[in-house]
Amino acid sequence: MKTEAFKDESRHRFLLNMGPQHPATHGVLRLVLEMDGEYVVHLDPVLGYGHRMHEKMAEARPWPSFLPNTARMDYLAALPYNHGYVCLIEKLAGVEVPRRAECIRVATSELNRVASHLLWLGAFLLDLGAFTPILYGFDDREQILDILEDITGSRLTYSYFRVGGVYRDVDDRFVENTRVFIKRMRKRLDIYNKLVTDNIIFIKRTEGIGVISPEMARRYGVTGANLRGSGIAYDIRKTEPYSIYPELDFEIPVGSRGDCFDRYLVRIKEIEQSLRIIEQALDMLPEGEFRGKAPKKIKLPPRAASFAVEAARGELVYFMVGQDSDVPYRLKVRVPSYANLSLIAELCQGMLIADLVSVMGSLDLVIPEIDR
Amino acid sequence: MTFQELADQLGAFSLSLTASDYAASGVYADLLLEQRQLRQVVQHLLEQEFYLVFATAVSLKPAACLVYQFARHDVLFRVNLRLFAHENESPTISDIFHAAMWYEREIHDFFGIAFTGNGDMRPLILSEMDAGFHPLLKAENVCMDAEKLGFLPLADEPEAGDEQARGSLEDA
Repeated sequence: MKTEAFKDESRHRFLLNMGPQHPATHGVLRLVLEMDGEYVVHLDPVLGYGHRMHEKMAEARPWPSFLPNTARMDYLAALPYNHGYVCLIEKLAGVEVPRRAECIRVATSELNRVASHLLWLGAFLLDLGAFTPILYGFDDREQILDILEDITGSRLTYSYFRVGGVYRDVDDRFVENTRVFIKRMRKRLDIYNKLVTDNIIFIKRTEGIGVISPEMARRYGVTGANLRGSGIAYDIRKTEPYSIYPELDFEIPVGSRGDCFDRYLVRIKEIEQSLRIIEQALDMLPEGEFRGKAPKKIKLPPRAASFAVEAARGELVYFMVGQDSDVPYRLKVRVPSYANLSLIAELCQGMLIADLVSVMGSLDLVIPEIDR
Repeated sequence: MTFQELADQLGAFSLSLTASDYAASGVYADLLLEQRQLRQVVQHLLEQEFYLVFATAVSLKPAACLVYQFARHDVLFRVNLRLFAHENESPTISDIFHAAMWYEREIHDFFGIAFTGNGDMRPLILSEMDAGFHPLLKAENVCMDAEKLGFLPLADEPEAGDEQARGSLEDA
């Protein structure tokens, strides 16, 4: 929108309420938009509709009872949330994790990441008016959910990781099914590229739209694929590696322009990289214990500690203060979508409302993670 | 950027950066600040290409402790800044790191700490109806001493000039 027209306050403006019940807000998010025709003059996100106060719950129960809560923040990729939490406790208590458990953790986390990206892909394209990709995406995601259901017992809110390992061992069936899935998914990626990446309507809706500069990304603490789309190869799995990630061979895809299209491309490439990681984790899966020896009762020492992992949407940090008991004194969960959404007011000023929908989809937001 | 480089740079502001055991705490450095030093240090971190990972508070005696974690994109270097919100007030950093805008509003909701200079202290997570209700603020009898955590509060009494500023803020 032309800046002069934008500043002219005599022009007719109106308020438009988007959400909290709106398919393009991906959860219970409300945007109060001040509009000039189809252009967004000002945007104000309103949060808190689904806030459950997980951080307060953490202060009111022994730490093992909080594990199921971790799965209910980013419910589309719950396993990385499990992972960060158990890693923090393991660090505080000095618990060793058997190698087999580490391999299982990484393989299942990456499967979960692929499932999350597939759902994002479908929902993003649906926001842009393309109905077909979500059918393909859900078909593939269903295969992952079946595999994970076999070993974890749940299909969405997994509480599979335990301090010192995982809840139960994987069998040959898991390894076999996962390998079949990887083979299938590689072929499917070609279909996605033909269906979406090269689609001229999709390109017109995303190229040059919602450009996040590296400087802006840093000011707002943007992480994950949204940051990598702006050309910064920052991934906790590489920069601050945990578990068996340092031994694995994978790349960090980055974009160059930081627009919606780059963010899309980064996630599609990440699916391919996650498949590589899963393959390697399965190859190096040793025989042995799936859960090591962990003390029955772990007292959290009275000091502050944090642990960061790469969740499907970016950097997830658990910051915990203990109090010499098994109940944490304070637990702060730094969720990626919180910072990723906070820049939307600046990013979308002066934008067409149709482009706002495109930007929201490309940011891959999970609102219950923000309203945690 | 290494620990020593940052320590030298902060030394110019007469601040001493403390090394932290990464294996135990998850951060490489720790810095306890007085309120008047915060904005200068944060501005320096912005110029040195750090980003704000998160900001939060811990309800302690004698005052709540604010924790800001910063990290870098190019190398592994996490640093925690800590300061005490005496009188439930602290200067804002939301004009330096825009990410802090929402963190400060959330801390205001949950702990009742006001950030002077932040023009938008509307509730973010809670609603207008919850004014005065701060869910993460601990009652006096369960509040831990800052010293028990090794968080030593600095003598950071508000200066005479601050009284006036606070008065006008409350009027507003």
